[in-house]
Amino acid sequence: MQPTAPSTPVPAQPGAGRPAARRGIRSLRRREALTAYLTLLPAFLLVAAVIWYPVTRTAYQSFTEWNGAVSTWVGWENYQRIVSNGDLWLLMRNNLIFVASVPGILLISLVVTVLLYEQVPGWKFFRSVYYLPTILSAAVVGTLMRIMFNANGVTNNALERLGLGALQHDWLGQVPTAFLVLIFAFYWTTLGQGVLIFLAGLAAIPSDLLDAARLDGAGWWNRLFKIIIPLLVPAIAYFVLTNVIWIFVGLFALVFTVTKGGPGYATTPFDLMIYRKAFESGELGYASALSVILFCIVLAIAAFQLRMFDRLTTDA
Amino acid sequence: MVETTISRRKALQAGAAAAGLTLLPGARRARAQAKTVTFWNISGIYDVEDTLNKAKRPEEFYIFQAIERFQQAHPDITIQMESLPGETASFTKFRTASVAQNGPDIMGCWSGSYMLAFTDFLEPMTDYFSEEERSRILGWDTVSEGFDPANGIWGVPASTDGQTCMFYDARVLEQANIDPEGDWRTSADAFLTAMDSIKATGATPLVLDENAIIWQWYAWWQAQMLGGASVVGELVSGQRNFSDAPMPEITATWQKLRDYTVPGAETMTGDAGFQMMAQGNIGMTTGGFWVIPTLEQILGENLRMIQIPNFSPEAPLQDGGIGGVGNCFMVTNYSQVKDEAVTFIKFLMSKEEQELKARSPEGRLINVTDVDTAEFYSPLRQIQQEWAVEPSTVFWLDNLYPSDLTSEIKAQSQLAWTGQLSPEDFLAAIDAKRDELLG
Repeated sequence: MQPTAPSTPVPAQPGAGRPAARRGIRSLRRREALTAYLTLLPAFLLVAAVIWYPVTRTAYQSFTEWNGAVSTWVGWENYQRIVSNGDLWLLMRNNLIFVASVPGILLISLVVTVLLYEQVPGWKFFRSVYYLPTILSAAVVGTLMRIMFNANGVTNNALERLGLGALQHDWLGQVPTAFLVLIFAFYWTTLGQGVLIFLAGLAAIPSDLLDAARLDGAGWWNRLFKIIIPLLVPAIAYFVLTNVIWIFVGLFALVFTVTKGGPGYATTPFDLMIYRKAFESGELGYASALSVILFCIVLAIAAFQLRMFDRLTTDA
Repeated sequence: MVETTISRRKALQAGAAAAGLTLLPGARRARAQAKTVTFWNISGIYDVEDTLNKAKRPEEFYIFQAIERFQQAHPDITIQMESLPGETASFTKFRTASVAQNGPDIMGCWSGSYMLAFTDFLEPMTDYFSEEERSRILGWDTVSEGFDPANGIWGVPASTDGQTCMFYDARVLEQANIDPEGDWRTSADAFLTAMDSIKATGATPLVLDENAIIWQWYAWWQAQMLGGASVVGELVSGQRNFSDAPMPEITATWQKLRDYTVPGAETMTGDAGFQMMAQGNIGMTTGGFWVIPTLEQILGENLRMIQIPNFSPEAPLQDGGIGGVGNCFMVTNYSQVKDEAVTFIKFLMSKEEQELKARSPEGRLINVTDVDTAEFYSPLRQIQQEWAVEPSTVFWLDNLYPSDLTSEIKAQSQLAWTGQLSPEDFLAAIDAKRDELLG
């Protein structure tokens, strides 16, 4: 057996092991990437199945006349009808009226938040009840509003008993007051959410800042508008964004239970009309086209709001 | 360690056996379920609750007893009934279920355009019923394509609604010095004068709800002035416009009724209208035979029933009202038990069952020719049964119009009733919708 010559250590040449190391790193990266993709795959498949397939299918069906059983390609006809029969403008108007009410609930929420924060008399009681309307379902709130505001309801009865019979009104039968009732219901259910968000935001504001402002003679409204609101911009942005989107996609239950979109179609928002067209009239193609339009509107509004609030936050 | 080798063939055999064992109970279950007929009843066809007696048990209602009798006669068929409210939301549920093909085998529905909107999900009934079977059941036109059985039958007429009419409190009319047999209902003008007299006594002359104002009053005045359902069909086909005379005049007169009824009638849903009679000091309301039990309890012997006033003595159709065979059964085309479903429907429509149905405390009106109801119906109900087949009974206009047009008329009528739309604008809006639907 020949003795094996002792291996002489070869001095490592600079760069000699790099290809192998690089290969190793590449292989590791590939394996990691593969693991990552495989890990994400179930989520991707789930999102594709429950979001992207319905979205794509809805976009396709918006170009068809479809009643749930039979589908015929009609091109842009549904979109043309939506524009020419006035549905688009009516629904936009109705939704925008609700959007215009958002600053109101924003201000009310801010005021209530600051009152709670400053522990005004009765704040303990109010703190325990302000969130209750938010946890009620929209259907419950809607039914309650309908009972309260129908022509023979609690509100008119109370007005009569208080000797204010002249103020009795067909609240749900007239367009302006039907909107007011809906907006009141929207405010009532949203107040809790707003206060919760803003209380969390206020907790992040140093109390000595407000104390210093108070010592410097800043009044309540001054502190609200010049200190609290500017510092709460991120919370306000979140509140406004989520509520504007909700107005476009979540009003259905409230409107359906309070006014059913009436009188006429005067309080019918996009989502209620989509429901009516799809499931009451069986015009699923037309409803799909309305859904696509709604999707684009919400996307545009969300993008605009995010950009605007990004700018505001940066400036602040 | 013992090595076991298994051939591919054996592996496949074992796999097939395992799959067979897994699927076998499912197959057995499927066979057992093949004889289960699912029936979605709507309250317009069979009652399953009594508003006057909430303690009434299910087995006391006719339909539960009928199902029991059917199952005894057909031990291989089980009927699974689900009851839905008699409103359009139930049809929405049926549509969504049918799109997913998991709806019922039998669905109760309003006849006419309500059921004809579902023909893509329905089994044609033409071949299931012989001429003889059809001849004793009334209302096949209301479940047929184009309202003509020759074009194809899509359902089975289930019951009649009689004729919607006025129910009044005799004491209130007496107090207002109105002679019930007088000419106060010969024209709209005479009727409004009578309403003034009632109003002068301090009573509310009339209570109506959102459906009554449009589908009972307005529809009757419209149909009688146009000359019946066939002329109303011309409005749908575009041969005639809603805004043509005499419709603006009818609409303007109809708007005047608002001054004599309770505020908010246009948004009052369900039975809210006639149930307000319980408050007392109310002259009259409208409805069909279904309001009789409640009103009898509220008004007792002071309850009277009379047809809705004529719009004009010159109207081509006099002394009638809206109603007819407004309910039907439908069998779905995706049902796995179509024959069993039809067998159950035939059982319900048989002479024996129709008689038992008419005799039951619910006292629904029936639409068969071989049962004499005179011996067991109350006087008011018997009048309703007779009115149901009168030529002056015009089939529900909302069952005649396409569903989209019905929705439009109902929605716009709220604005017209409250004066937020003029008669001309109201009718023009309906014309525009009709034209859009006609393309």
